[in-house]
Amino acid sequence: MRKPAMRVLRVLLGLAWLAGLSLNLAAAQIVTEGDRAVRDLGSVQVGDASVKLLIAYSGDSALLEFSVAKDAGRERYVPMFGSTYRGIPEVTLKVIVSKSGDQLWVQSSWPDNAVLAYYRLGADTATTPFGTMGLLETPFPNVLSGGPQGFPQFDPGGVWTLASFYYPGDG
Amino acid sequence: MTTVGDILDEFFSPFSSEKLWVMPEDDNYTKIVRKWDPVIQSTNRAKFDLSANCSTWQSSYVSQPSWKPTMTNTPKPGAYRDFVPSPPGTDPGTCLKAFVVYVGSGVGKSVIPGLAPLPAIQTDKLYTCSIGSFNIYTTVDAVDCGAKTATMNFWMYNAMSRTSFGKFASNPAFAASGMRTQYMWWNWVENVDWSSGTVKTVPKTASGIGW
Repeated sequence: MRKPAMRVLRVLLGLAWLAGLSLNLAAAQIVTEGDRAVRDLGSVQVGDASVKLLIAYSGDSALLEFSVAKDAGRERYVPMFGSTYRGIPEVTLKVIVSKSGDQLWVQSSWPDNAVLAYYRLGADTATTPFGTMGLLETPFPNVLSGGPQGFPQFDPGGVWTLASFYYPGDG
Repeated sequence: MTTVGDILDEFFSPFSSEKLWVMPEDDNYTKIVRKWDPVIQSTNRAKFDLSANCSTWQSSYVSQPSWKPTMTNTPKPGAYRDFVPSPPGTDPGTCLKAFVVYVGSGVGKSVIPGLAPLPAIQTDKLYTCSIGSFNIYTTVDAVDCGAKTATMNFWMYNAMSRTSFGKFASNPAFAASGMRTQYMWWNWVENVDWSSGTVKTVPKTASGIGW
């Protein structure tokens, strides 16, 4: 049943192409220059730093990350999850801050991925699922390579949830 | 043996359903991805990290035989990871050509009366374009930091979803397509030796054992 149906579908696609129809054929999982977008999921202020959760879309990929900028300076980025399609699954993200105000954790609602990032305010590095790494200058890194080494634990009594963001997911 | 046509047919079928594709080392698709330059570079990064941080791998990135791939985007736990977004060669021009060749071969065999059935033309470009972005999760099945040798276990992952195809997916020509997510995993093992100071992959013998 399926094979003949697919043959018919392939024929229709082929005929559409042969007829000169413009399919804007981003065939298969493809990348186009200038096909980048950033979705702002929301921002919170932690002391004198602005922390923004975002999704950076590029080609057929998406990268969940947060940025940090101090005193309205330039943003630098911390990757948390790389997706091999142009979207991320439904998620709720909590920004958890130490009561001293100098540390933050990003916690997800995904199973087995409770904490996605740890950052000490003012530092040039962050702890991510790719290990401890320097803050990125761009939300669109060419590659991300590294291994999880665990996140600093937080004492539930010593932190508070500063903000919570829900994202329904893409497609 | 898995062909990319099998996966594309499932994805674009009106009767499409979510499916898990697990392709072991001897699978044709796995052999193709291992020759793909972005994959070679990705595995080289993991090999270099292993040679530079062997003790971390020994303690943190050891294979768990109980782990099995599933239909999920959740990263493989306890593994070194390498995320490669939109690698070179998966641009629209390259992929359009590969897809047109594939579609065109289907037209030829189906609409020309009397023409003997021909296999659809599935170029290596079609195979890699259908992946695009990927993650590779790496662990060690065995490691000897003193001898500087290890058996590395690679799991490469890609999810093909409606959003993978951008505007292409919303074209009326695909109105009847199901486009349910296809979860693809490729798996292979490599023996490596960096005792000389350079990481070398040890060729496997006919028995499959490299040492």
